[in-house]
Amino acid sequence: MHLIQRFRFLISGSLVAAIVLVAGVARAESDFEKILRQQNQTNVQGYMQPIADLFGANLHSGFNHSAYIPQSGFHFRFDIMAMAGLVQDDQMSYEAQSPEGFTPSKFKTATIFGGKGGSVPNPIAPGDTNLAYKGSDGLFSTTIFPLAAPQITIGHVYGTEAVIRYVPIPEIGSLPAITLWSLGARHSVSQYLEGFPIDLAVGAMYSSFSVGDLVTVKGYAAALQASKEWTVFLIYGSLQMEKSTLTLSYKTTDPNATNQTINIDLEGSNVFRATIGGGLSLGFLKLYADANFGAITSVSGGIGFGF
Amino acid sequence: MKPTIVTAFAVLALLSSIGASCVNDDVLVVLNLGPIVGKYRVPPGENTTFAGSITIRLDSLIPPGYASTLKQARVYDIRVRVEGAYDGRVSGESHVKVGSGTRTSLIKFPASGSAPWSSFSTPQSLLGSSPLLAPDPSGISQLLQAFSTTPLPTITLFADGHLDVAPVPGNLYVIVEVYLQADATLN
Repeated sequence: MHLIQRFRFLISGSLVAAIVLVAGVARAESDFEKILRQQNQTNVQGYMQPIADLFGANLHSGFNHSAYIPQSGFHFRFDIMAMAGLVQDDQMSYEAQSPEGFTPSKFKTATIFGGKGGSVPNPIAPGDTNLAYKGSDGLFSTTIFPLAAPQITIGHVYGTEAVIRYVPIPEIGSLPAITLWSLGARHSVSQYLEGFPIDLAVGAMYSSFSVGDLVTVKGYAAALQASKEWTVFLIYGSLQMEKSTLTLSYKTTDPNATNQTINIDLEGSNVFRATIGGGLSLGFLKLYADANFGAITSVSGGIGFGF
Repeated sequence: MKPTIVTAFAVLALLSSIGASCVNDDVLVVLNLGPIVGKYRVPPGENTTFAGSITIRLDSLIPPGYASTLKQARVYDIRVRVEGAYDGRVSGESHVKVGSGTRTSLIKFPASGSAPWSSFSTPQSLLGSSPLLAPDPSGISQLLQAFSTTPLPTITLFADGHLDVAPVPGNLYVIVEVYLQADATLN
């Protein structure tokens, strides 16, 4: 297939994938917004914290592959990235604050990844379910939290390449606009270490994701990357520092909330990760997969097309 | 090459939709509802009794979009308090009526006899296991059944009682607050 035809096919495929994505996300986002608006300032943090942890980790996955970066020469690659944070058992429940006067003052209930909401009984009638306070059910029933994004890599100038991710989904009906973008750069360290047995590179990336005015995730990562290639095989690893912040901005419908306008920042728990992975380079086609270990365990993989 | 690319996009589409396909179908979202507040004036003068009612539309408590998806409701607190200074004692009872149904006792304050008016200056709460409050399960049950009625009916909250010493000064109020949660489906 001619190169231009291949990329035309990629673009057509991207549109198909985007339509599927929008259809799927529309319901999830709508339900997410509905359930979010019932949360008050007190309990939204516990309910939503796993989203901040997992999304933050996903946002910074799939950045580190081959550390081999030539000093010069034109390079272009289009990757389709998929990453998934693993939902841990302790991310399925949290200690919610009971209304003032309840004993105990906290009770265990579902996070957004949990099952049925927990409740705290009224002390005057502990067995009476008509007299109790309850937390919402979890929304997602899944052990993995995925994300997918296209990525373009362009280089090389002085052993440096740029990495770009961009997913713009316009406002469609009641579904607000969704935008994901990342901008990063990787720089070869090996070029300064003649004869060093493995390739080394450093990289940094800034990412942003937003769903209308409701959810914003921003974060950055910096990594030291190493890799070794044998003919078509590649193994790679990296150490990465990262930071992500999920901001929720909405008006709660809880009439008992002290403030109806909620603006809260949730810090992602993943601040450091070690990555190990492998890949195949089959001419125009690249395949890779890796595992990431930190506060959040995640996996990522992808398929790339380029030269 | 083409099958590989098609497979890749199929995987991407699948991964992209995992979040949506894993949305629970039977999710119950808990709605914290505004309290039903009845504020009843005690008439000043030689008459030591008081009585009053407030009527609300139940759907006025429900956030938009949920009125038709309610599944059940709970009372998580009832508070009784007073406003105004009075040296005597008070006894009273609150009733609930759903739509044009019958009046049913919701709570007595106190359970029997009377209590100093000043003891209600600090809100008495079921959550505090107040000995001055005696909820009636039949009234609570009737109130909660209203949430499964279509269309949502009106709720009338009554309060009546008496004070023990006349003359009754002005600006005395008895206030009954009912705090509720309702469960609703997302769809």
